[in-house]
Amino acid sequence: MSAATLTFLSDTLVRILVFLSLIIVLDLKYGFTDIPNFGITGFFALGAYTTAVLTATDPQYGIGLGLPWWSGWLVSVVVVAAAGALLSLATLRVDELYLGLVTFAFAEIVLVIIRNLQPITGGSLGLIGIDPLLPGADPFLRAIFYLAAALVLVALFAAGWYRIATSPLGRVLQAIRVDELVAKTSGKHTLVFKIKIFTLGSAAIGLVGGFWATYNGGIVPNMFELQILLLIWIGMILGGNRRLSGLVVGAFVIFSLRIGTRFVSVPFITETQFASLRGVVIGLMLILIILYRPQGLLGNSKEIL
Amino acid sequence: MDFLTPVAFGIVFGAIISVPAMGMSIVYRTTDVLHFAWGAYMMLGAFVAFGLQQVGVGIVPSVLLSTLVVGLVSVALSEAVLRPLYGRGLLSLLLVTIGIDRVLLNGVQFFAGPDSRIFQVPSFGVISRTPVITVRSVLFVAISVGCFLALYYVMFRTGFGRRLRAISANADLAEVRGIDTRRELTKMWFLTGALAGLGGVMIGIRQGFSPYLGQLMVPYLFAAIILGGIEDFRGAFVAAIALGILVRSISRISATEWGLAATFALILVVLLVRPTGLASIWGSDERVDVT
Repeated sequence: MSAATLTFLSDTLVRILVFLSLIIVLDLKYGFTDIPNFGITGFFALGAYTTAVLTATDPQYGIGLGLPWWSGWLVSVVVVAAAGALLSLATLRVDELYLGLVTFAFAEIVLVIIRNLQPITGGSLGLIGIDPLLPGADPFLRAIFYLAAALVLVALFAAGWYRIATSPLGRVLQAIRVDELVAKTSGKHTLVFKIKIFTLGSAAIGLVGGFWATYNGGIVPNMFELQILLLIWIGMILGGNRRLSGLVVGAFVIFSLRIGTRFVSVPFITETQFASLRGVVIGLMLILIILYRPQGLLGNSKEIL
Repeated sequence: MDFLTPVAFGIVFGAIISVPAMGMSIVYRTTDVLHFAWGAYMMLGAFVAFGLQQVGVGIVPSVLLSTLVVGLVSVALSEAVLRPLYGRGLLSLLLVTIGIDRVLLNGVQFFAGPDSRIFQVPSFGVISRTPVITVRSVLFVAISVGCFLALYYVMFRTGFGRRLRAISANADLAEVRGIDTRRELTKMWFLTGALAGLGGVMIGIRQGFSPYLGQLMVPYLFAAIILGGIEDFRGAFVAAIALGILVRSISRISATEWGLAATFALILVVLLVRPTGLASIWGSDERVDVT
């Protein structure tokens, strides 16, 4: 294989791994506590834009402070964690469905603000000039380096997921999911647990956002639109939530479909038509999974969505 | 600066949005489906009416036919996809409607392309210039008030409405008491789907449309029904018009998108402060809370 093919493969893989890490976080929140986070792309965008504004040098539009990458990532983690803590503090008392709507509204507000604050964020034109890791390195070498970094990220998240799932905290979360009232009666302050997990998850998303901004070198609001949110959700449900293997399968199936087909051309139909066709397939997948396989491809039929 | 025009525009916009929003609220109340594809149903209505008009059908029959078509689509999709999931939890239902939304949006875009379209419908004359009011916009408001009154009559003065309210209070009990829930819900899906189609045609005539019409309308629909108390179509009607005025006034003094941001901020605040929306102000009606 040529270096170009390998670079393309590694790029696709990095993108899938980034979304896999988001799916792991989403599952940690939803799978364990039934917190339906429809705002995950909002937190993701917040993290990415924080890093972008802090680390970009001379962007055409918007602000770039030119700080080193690690400071951007660090601030992203803090900012997104703080946003998550505030939002959960304010909302976790309401019903789950309402919470889903609140987080969704939050994500949309973040996007509208990013699109319209052009002096800071570059608006819909995006923010470019974010310095890559290993600035002087050979592109191929850098691609491998990013791949390694993404693998470490996912491994870290998976380990964290597993650690929490098997810890006393995980058991409390499971108890909350099955029956919050019982958990409360057993003396667990369920609200505190929910806020903890939501904040922790947000911090993790902030880190992924920072990585995403640095990796892409430039970001636009459309990278965080509704379509992506849906793909992350479908990725979580597809393989079966609450098990790591299911999340991995789901992420790879759905995001290879999305990312791996970017440069595929099909005879007789235009590019837009191909994108539409892909959208139809994704919609149908969502419908069929929920109708016929709510526990996911690898799921256990006793654990239903 | 002319402040009355945004208010007038807002009333018209809100009145049009209220038509599908009332249907969406009835759907949620009777089946627990928070219907994400409701905007896509509106888009479908606009496209069907536009297509009919293109082949030479008059505007009034086109509107009526497209309303009928969307009603039937709503029935067909609820039978095929939603009915098997009744009782499986709000989230499953919501996610499935997101799937429907994707399929409709992308399906229409596959055949029609992403371009915007404009209806060729006259404004039937201008009533006033400051604020700008046309006969056509008065007609839109009249249609929406007519829909509200008709729904009020149907829901509170007919046997069908009584049966629907019984189903929303306790579906099992209704079934036991001899109500054919499937039949009543099928009628409900047709009625509400038709309202979505009608709203879609009206908004399409007023501001043009593309396959993305649904995407643009969904935030307003959600905001209207949440503000209105989710389960009460009367609340949705009032809230939609209030929302219309708010959004158009904000758009007047700043970029259009800030109106959208305000809509979401409103959803956020209402959910946090008063999750039952307007309904909590005038007192909820007879729905029995079984949770």
